[in-house]
Amino acid sequence: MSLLNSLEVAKRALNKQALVLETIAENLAHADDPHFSRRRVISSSSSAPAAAGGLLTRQGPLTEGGPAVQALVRERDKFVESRLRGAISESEEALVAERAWQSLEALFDEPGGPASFSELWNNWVNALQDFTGYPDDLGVRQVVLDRSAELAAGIRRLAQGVAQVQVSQEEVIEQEVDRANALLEEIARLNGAIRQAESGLGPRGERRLANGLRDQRDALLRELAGLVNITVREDGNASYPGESAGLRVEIGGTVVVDGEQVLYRVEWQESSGSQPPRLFLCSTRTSPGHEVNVEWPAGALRGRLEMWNTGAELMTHLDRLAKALIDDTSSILTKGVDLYGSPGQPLFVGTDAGDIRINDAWKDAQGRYDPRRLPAAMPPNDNAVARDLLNWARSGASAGGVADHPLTVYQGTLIPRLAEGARQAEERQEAAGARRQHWENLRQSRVGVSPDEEMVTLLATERAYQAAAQLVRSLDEALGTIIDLLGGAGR
Amino acid sequence: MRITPQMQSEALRSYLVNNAARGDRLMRQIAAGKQILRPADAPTRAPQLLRLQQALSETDGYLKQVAEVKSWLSETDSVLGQIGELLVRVRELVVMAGSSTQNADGLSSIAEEVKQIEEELLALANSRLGNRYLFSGGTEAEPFVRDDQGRVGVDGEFHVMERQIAPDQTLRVNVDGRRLFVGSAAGGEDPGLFDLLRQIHDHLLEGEAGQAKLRIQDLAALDAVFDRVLKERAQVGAWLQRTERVGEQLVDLQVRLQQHLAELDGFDLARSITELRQQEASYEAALMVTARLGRLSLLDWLR
Repeated sequence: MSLLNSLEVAKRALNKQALVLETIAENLAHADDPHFSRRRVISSSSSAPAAAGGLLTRQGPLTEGGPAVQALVRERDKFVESRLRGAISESEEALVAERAWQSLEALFDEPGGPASFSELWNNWVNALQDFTGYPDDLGVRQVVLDRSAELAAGIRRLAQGVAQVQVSQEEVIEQEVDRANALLEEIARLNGAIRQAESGLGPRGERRLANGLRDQRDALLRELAGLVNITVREDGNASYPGESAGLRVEIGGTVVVDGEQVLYRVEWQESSGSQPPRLFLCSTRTSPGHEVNVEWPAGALRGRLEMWNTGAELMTHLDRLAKALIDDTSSILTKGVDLYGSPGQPLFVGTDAGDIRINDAWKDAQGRYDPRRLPAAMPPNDNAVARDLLNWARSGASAGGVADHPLTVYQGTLIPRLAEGARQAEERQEAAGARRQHWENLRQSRVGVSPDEEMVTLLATERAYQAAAQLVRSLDEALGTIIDLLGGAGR
Repeated sequence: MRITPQMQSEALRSYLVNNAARGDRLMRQIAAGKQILRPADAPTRAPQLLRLQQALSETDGYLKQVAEVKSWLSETDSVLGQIGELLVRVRELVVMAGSSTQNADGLSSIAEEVKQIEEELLALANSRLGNRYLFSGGTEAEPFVRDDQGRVGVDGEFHVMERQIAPDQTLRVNVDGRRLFVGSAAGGEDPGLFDLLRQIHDHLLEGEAGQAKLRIQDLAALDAVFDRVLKERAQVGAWLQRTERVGEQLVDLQVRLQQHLAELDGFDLARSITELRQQEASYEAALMVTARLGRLSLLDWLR
């Protein structure tokens, strides 16, 4: 043990403490960045397992040389990280569903909104009631026609709105698939960049992990998880257990990114007719790409597929409703003499909710109606047709209703589905959001920067640094004294 | 557990968002006076709510019908009353003319009065409510018109007018003016009102021979016509009563539906406002705690 050796120890201490100060600075600078993981210096004196391997024993040469800096690592918890990704997938999927249901609720505007089907239906029934009172009144007839046209337009509006929800899901699927592929590319690229960056040593001989790049990659993995739940397989790292050596990304059990290579891309196929849109994986190594169908995992993309299907389901109910309205009113009106005294013309025409409309023949019928020139079968104040229509319209109103009556379809199927779907989506979103928050909290608790904590470390390191510097000065003085003595001896 | 400022701010943010959402919901409920603002608020009650609203709107529609039927029938009733009064006067005149004390001058002035009454009755027979003739049976043109010979005839056919005044109740609302005013067969055994008046008018101008006919034949025929008017009026009165009863039932139904609707919705202003107060208090407390804790930092003590 010599003075020079002590000087070496002091130098290393100064080195280490300088790095700790740098780390504090970096941590504080990123205190507001949610993607940043706080950094930590591992030195030979640290209790980190990475510093083991005889370094802490008294026999090792480094022990005598003071605290040697091993590496600058980030705080990380693989388990929490993977659970957080799962929670993000779920919550993003739930969020997609919640928003889509909200727009459907706004579209249907129940209970009793001015544009709601219920309101239009009630207006129509009220017009029919007036019609039974004044079957020969031209004004009343016009109101019946107007209300019928409004009802048909209301049903078309619902059909268009539901279709719009489906279309917008597909539009977003397209963008999200592009984003997912971009993320896969970027993750593979980062894998390469990290490997390269970590091949050298830092200025103080420490191993520098590419912490910034690793943080970036983790953030990208979390973003990707929002789109589609991924499984991340990390190769163990003997020196730094929290970190990985190599990294693979799997979607539904298929490896899509292996190290620096993207093996599969996410692809999608547009819906056609009643065929829903489809998501699958496509190999990047064959041409044309080999398709792999996997059970699509949770995430925003799956949420959009599900909402597309929900839209399709609502549409079948709307179609049933429209068809019942068209067929049933036609069979009443065409049985005998129609509203205008000519042989039965249907009131509504079309095939489904998308194209239900009022019969064109009615538009100019107003001018044709002449109560003095009606056939004997239909005297001017005969309200039989009007009453039949009214009674039919009312027959769906009773609890349970008549099967396949527009009201039964609407109140018995559509509204309960809308209510239950929206409620479930809301609850699911709340629960998934809370889980996400929980895991995000756990992650932050582990990796987040606390300025106060850094300040405490700063105080301690400052003292240690001062002490080490003082030590150097004392050693210097001692050495000076020795050298002076030696000088004296030589004289 | 380590707590970082990031966690605290995130927790505060989500708390504020949730709290604001709850407050917003309460505010909209209070403003609308409704508990159920969208079907998802009460999935099981929503279809029932729609059915009730619909029943209510339908009841309103029937009430409107009832009101119109009522005014139609009251008008019919009052016109029939006026016709009855005029017939009473005609009867007085016929009795007066039948007595042997009347001379030709007296008879002709009575004939003139009968003629005037006939005109008046013609106007009553063509009474309208709005643009509808009370006794026409559906035709849009004036139903009772005088022909070239001055005889009152009828234009068009009579059709029964039925109104739906309640879900399963229809009511006939028009009186057959044809039967009342023109009779089954003109000049037959059962002359119509106008034919009879014409006949009385003619008899009045015939002198003594006419007086005898007035006494025997016309008086009896007049009583028969008067009876018919009374019968129709009684019928109209019965319809009117039934309409009124149905109207009362509908109002009852309306009240019950409204009560049911309020119960189903379950809105309670006092409760909502209490909740809003609590919401406010906890929101304020959260803000205060955050402001206090957020100020604490070691940085303030390092000088």
